[in-house]
Amino acid sequence: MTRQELASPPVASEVDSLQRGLQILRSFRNGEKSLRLADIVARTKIPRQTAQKLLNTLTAHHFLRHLPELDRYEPDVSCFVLGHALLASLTILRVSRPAMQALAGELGVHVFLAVREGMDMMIVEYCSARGEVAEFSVGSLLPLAQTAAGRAWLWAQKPAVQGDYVERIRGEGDADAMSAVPGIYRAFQDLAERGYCLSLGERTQDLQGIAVPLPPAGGREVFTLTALASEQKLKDSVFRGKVASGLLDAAARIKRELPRAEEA
Amino acid sequence: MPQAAKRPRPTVDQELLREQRRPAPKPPSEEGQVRVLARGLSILRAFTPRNEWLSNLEIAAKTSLPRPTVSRLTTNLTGLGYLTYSTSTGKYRLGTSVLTLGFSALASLDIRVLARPLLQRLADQEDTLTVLASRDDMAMVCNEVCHSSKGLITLRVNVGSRLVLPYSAMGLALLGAMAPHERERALQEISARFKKNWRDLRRLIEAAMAQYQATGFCTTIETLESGTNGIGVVVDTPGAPHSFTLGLAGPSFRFPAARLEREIGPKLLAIGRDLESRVAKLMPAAGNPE
Repeated sequence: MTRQELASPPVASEVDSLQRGLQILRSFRNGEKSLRLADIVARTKIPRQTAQKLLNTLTAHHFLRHLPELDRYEPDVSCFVLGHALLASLTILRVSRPAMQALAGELGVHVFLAVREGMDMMIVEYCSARGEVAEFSVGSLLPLAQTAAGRAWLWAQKPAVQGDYVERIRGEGDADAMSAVPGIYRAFQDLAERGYCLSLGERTQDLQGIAVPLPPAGGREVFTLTALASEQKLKDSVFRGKVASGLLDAAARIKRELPRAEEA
Repeated sequence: MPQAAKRPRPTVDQELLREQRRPAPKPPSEEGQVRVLARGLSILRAFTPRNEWLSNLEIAAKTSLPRPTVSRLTTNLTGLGYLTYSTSTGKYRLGTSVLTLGFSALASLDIRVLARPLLQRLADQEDTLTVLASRDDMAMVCNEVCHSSKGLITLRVNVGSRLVLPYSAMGLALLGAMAPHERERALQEISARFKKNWRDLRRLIEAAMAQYQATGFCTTIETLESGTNGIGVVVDTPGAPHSFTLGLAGPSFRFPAARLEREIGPKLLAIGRDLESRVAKLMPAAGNPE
């Protein structure tokens, strides 16, 4: 066996151009079809001339498409194939989907699977309640500190990691973040006692979530499974109990089937 | 073998395999581009369409980039969270963060979402499979796939499936919709990439171009898979002409050429026009500040 080759140290300006180019792609948020150069400059703080060169590169590689008549840019087919390559390789999606669909169908709740992305939780699979319009889609981000999904993720981390995140949430300093901290500890208590947590009454939207953590897939990331329903529906303790036990059953089923699927 | 005998036709899967074995296409000219970004994007694309674990050496072979460049960039991309690294195998693959790279904007309200109900209705009516696809190099990538809810047809086509461009009805329709110089360039690429089959392929494409001129659609008779016929039309959206195609495929005994031309073609064209007008309504007007 040879000693593992070390990569040469990164060159600062190189990292910068790569990161900035990808930052432009990240600035296309959920639900926005196209952006103008000015929008991109405003969001990313990248100088206009540099941004134009990065946009040319992204366009040449089909990550963005330029709409000449409107002088706008929109994500192109490379974003699509990259995202689908990733989704196709997540075994946990394949294993979770039937359980999620069953839950969404039986209880009329939206069900999603999420994983941490920075200080947010990112949705990787979404089943909407039968006959209802989807509230989110794959790739949607939800704030980690304020959601049941994020709190369930945090609960599944080692104490040192939990401490780091709580510090970072406090460090953000705004009122929302500060008020989230007691909610996080309440969620931890619920998770320890009952195996799930709720985000009742803490979101501005009228949808509320109940979440459970899933075992790390392939020894890596922790995914969380969330059921969303209207605040009014979830106030009914019988309904809430049904959703919670449905989620716990689904999580147990996924936990059972995942190792076998990962080997296959 | 008599001249008139049907020559064996490649199936979708064989072509898919062949496409994957083929070396990566030459990167576009790097003039006016940022080289390190271009290279990083090529590395990310090396993991499509299946996100298999790849070593730096394998990535270097796929991207034609020098090995030291690849190791530097995979290190950076891992640091940024777009790749994950396995210490046990020394290999990389895409991380979940790539979903933040424009994917969620794509997945939301756009042509795909608008096309879905229209395609589903047609799939149910005709009890077969309908597709929305866009071009990626020499493949038509399926963005939306609708199976008949009666579920009688089980073609192995799913979202993300890649159909070989010059053998698919949608790919041919796309060629038909191109401006002459654009088509000329595409045909040159095709002739280089499909050298072995180019003589037959050229005849197929010429016939398809004539059909497109006359009708606005292209049909294929068992070109992708034996026993399966297909038809494709192009969708023109404002600002993004011929970027998307609609297609229908089904068993040849139920969809013979004559039926595709007389019955299905006009239906698919009507859906295309409907979709174009729906997209146009959603587009921001040119010059509109927001």
